[in-house]
Amino acid sequence: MVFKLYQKNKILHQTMNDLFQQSQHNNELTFVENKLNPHLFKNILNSIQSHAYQSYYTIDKLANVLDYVLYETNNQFVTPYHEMEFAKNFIEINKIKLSPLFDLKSKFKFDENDALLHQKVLAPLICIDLIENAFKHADIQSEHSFISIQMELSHGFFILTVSNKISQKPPLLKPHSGIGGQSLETRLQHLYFNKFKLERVVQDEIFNAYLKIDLRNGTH
Amino acid sequence: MAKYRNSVFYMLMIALFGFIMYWVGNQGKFLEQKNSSDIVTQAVTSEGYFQDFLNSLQHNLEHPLAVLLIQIITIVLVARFFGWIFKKIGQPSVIGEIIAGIALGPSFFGSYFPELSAALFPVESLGNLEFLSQIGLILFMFVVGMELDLKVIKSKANDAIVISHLSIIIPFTLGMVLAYSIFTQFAPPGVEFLSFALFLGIAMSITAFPVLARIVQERDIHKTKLGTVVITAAAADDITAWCILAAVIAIVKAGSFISSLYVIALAIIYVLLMLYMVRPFLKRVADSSSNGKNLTKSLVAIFLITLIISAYATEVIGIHALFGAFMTGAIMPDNMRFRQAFIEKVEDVALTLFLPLFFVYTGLRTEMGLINDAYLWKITGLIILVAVVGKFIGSAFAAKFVGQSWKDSLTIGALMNTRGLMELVVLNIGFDLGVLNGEVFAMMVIMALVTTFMTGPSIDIINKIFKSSDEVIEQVSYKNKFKILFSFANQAKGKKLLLLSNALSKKQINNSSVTALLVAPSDEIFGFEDNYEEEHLDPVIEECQALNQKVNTMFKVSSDVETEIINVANNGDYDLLLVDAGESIFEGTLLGRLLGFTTQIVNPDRILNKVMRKEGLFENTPFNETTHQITLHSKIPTGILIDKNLEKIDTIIIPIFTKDDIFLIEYAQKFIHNNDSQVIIIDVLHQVNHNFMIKELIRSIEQVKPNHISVIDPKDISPEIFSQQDLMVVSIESWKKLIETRSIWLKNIPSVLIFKS
Repeated sequence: MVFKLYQKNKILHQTMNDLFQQSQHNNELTFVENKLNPHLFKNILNSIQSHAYQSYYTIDKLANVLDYVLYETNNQFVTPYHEMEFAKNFIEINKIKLSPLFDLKSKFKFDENDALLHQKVLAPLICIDLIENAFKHADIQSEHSFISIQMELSHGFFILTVSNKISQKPPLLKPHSGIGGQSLETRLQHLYFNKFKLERVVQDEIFNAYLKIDLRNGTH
Repeated sequence: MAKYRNSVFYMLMIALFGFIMYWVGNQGKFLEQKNSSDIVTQAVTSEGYFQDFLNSLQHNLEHPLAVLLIQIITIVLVARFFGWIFKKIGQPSVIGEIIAGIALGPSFFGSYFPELSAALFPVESLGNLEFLSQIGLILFMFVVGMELDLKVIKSKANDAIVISHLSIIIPFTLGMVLAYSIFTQFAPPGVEFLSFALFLGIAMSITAFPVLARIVQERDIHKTKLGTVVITAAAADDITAWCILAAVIAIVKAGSFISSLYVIALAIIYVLLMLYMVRPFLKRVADSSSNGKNLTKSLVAIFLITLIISAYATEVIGIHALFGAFMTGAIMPDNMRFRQAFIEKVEDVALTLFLPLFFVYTGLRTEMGLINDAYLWKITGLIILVAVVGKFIGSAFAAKFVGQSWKDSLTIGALMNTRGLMELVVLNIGFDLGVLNGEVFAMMVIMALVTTFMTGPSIDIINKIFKSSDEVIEQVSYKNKFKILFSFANQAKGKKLLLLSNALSKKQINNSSVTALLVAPSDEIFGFEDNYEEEHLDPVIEECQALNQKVNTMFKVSSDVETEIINVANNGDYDLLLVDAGESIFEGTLLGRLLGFTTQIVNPDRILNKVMRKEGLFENTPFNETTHQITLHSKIPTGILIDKNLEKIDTIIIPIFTKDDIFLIEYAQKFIHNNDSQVIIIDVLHQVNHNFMIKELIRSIEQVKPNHISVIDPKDISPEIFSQQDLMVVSIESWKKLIETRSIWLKNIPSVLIFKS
């Protein structure tokens, strides 16, 4: 009898104990759950914040570009300085496609004392085709991928060089392609007659574009 | 007293022995009288003492040795002068030296100043000149042989060999056809047609490897694909041509093809002997004697004796001593360093002293006057035409066939058409053998000159015509690369800077270039001679191979090291200049010397000591002052490394003071991307938190590469954290601040890279 009572008591004790442990475990669980949720939110918030900032940043640059397109490009010619500022903005906009660790190099070499820097001698948006192409066709996911853009004004020559890694795969057929390059050439031909040089070459999976315009002695 | 003792002793002894000599001289006169009266003393025939002197002077002037010496002086001076002129107009100096030879010969000097010419080059002196020039040629051919790298030919074989052999067989055939058409008028009497034809053939198919190699080097194409192809082809050409020439000489000497077979058999035995007996022997000698750096006298003696024996053997066999010399050069031990050292030893004397003698010797035999009517000039034109068509077009055609581009093919053609002095060697042999007469010899000399002369301009023209996309690619891809230049003065620091460059660029294989710049102070280089460059650059190059990093090297000598570095950096379109805080900038600079800032003050250890307050800290540390110089003048981003046993760059700490320090994040980006480094950013003045730009930049990196970048508040760190990092990256302004405030961080500081944007 006593033994039975003891037995019962022991079982009761056991159950109590189990219950207690369970509740404690539950407590812990809810605690973790409670902690987990805000952390998840924090992470997501981080990403959203980052995106929001980048969106804002990109929109800001886009606004600059819009200004340029609205107020400057109506003229037949713009100053190399403005075109350079435009190119900078344009590159910033395109950065949104890229990882922050992507190997993007842009370099602008303009001599501050160059008389041509603030003269309206350059056709507006002349650099857009080549730069845009680099971002469009760069194989940004491959390991050694890069885009490199250099713009310079020296001794009366405007020189733009763009190179980027491209995919080995043959290009897919797209409804709107293959017009840009041709139209750039025609435009240059029209504006600068034979005082320019445009080369586009692919070598070892690297696309190289080279544009050189002779800005001396005015334009045609 | 002791001071004068020596002087007194000296004077006494002079006086004593002077008197004894005088006395013996006087006593000797009696012996004369006693002996006999038929000793005719000079005094008897003389017409006074001064005339005596004049006579003996005249006699001395005509003495063969005196004549030879004055000839050498004239020749070397004139050759150098002409060589210099041609160098100035962008031609290889060889042409100038050849022309100098012709000018000194009967064609010009001889016909306008016949007496002077006869006095300077009397007929009986030509023998001496010939032998000396022959010895010069033997040494020269030895050098030519050594400059050939047989291994290259073996490894790069196919294309180059095809080009090379086709470029011999085509002109050779054309030469024989030419011989057929001019044999009756121009062959010396008694010469067989076969000999004449073979000689014209070989004369048409020669390429001057040394001249070609020099042109290729001067035009900076020796490292391109085209350069290797053409050098290999020319080398193969050289070997083939000399073997054919040996056979031709054998045939000419033996009189008929059949009887020449004995000579050729002997020659083959000779070649086999050289290849399988002498070559391993020489290799063992070179290996056992040293590490290939220092050539001892006995070593040089062994090689020179081998050379002479080989030349002697081939002369006796009947295939000309020059072939033996060339062969010896070609089988020298493969170690290029060893060869280089040997070449340098022999080349100077052979090229500057002996070779001009050969040119003049050739010039003395070239009589332009023989070509005195229009018909002969026409034939000369024909010879030139055949030579150019055969060699130029022949090799261009071959190159095009094996798949070179048009531009490269034509360039190869133009280069292979260079005949230079090798042609003269062949012509002289032909003249000696009596196969060529004076007229043909003169015509062929003109041909050699014209074909050599046209090489440079024709390459220019080809470049102009094909100002091709190749160059554009090179230009574009070079411009668009991220170009790091690091300058070092001692190899240990060079390795550290290389490690840094590697960490900043290793994943951008196609899009970065690293250049190592070594500027030697010019007063130092005199003592060290030529191996200064190797000594300093080689360990760094080895390190490059270990890191698998491609690197360009640049070596300069300057009296003003600091300015030189700055000039290279500013003019070279580099994106980043890395220097070591120690020797490379400051040591030996003019400024340093003027102000007394030599190593004792501007020494990285001292700077660190100052920084760590083991030594007193001044308001203006010399480091600040001198760094100011470099940062003031370098127009490109510059990084200055204070090295404290930098071995790896896995963890980096970057203190950010102001928002201007944002450019450091760019370098952090590069370190993370290329080197997988982990970066801790210390937000010293709470700028990061308040500046969206920086904050977002860091956050975006963190998103794509977690656990590689973090921002820490300075309150949360202990100073010890610095000593656990591999590198601290800091902007120069912040560095100044750190030093001014005598920050406690400096105590545990790791290696520091100070950036100026």
